[in-house]
Amino acid sequence: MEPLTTKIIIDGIRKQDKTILKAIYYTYFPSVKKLIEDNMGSEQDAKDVFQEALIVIYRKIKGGNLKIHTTFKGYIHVVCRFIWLKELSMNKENINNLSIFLEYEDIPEIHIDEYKKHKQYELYQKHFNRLGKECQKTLKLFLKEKPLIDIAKKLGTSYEYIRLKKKRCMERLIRYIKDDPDYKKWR
Amino acid sequence: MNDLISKYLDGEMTVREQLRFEELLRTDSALRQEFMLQKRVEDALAEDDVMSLRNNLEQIMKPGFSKRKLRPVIYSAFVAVIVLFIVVGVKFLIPHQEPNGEQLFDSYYEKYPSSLNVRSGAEASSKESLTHKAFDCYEQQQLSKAKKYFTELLRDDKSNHRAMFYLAITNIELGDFIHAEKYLQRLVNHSNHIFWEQSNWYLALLYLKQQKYDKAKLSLRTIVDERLSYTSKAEELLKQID
Repeated sequence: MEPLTTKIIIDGIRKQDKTILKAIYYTYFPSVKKLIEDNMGSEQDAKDVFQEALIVIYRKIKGGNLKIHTTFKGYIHVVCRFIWLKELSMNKENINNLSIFLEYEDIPEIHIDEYKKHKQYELYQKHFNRLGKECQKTLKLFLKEKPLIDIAKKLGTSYEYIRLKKKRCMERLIRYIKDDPDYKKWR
Repeated sequence: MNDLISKYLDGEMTVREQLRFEELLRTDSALRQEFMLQKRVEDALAEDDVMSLRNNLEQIMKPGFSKRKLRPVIYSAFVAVIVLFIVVGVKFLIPHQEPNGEQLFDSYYEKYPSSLNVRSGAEASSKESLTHKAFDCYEQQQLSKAKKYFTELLRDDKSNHRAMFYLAITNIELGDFIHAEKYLQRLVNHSNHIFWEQSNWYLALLYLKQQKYDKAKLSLRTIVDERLSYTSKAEELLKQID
């Protein structure tokens, strides 16, 4: 197999190439796991952080604003460290102890607003997956082709029915989101 | 408030309505907050690629069986065993008291409000005019007439879920529980209509009224599991009949 260069990694993440994603996981996860476990986290925390770091990086690639001035290993470490610090700082008990474990540092790679948006979207998408298949389909169709009248025609139903269905599904989704304790954290 | 937001985001406002809404957004902070949330949610749901990447990553990371997933299973099993002991113990020690379905029905039942707000004009079709007559009678508590009109509407269009639902409620009001149950069961069996949540709730209440407790529990559990609109009331009722 070709050596895992930064270019191959970035292309692999952009294309969501499963072989490259697996290679990234097996190559870089062990050191991230150590970083998290050494700083009050579990293996599952490390997996969550690693996954979110890759999604943050994917968004940067998509937005054309990924700038890596170091190795990919160094870069993903910085991103994971940032995410884990943010997670720890959300818990009031940890704030005072943070300096014992990790020194907080400014990370030019991620702006805090960008990360906040990332967390909000993660929350919304998580609850979208909780909806029934019918609701998911209705909302997706709605997002793809806005005029409800067109969706109604496509599904062979009435405009009034599809409007109410969309409203009901969206209301349920918003309720799930607002009931989540993380909603207030990232509002 | 949500209606206005949906209408705006769905592009279904006239230019004048849009301008008025945008003015409201500037002055009403609660509306602005709701609007921003709904807008962000829509933007987030359009990210098919990110959702697919998250799924792919979850699949890739799965084989390393996580501690967090295992722990709750063991913990839940332990809690379940303890709860079982307590429940069995309580059942044997305290004499069992039957719930009173009729009383519970009376406490929780409310006639479902009419859903027809727009009055028909002079050029209304015969179906529209029949619908209006049915709802007028329903609102004015002329229930035998309402039953007649809703039945006619349903006869003309068997997929008219609204007519079927209101016919069921009218039957409850008239004390005809057998027919009410029949229609509600039909409504519950198909979830692709807007009265599905309400139908589950009224069917559960109807079972209570008729002291069919096992069926009532099943309906109530569906409401709780699906987190439907009546979840908190269903939970209250389940506590009382379990």
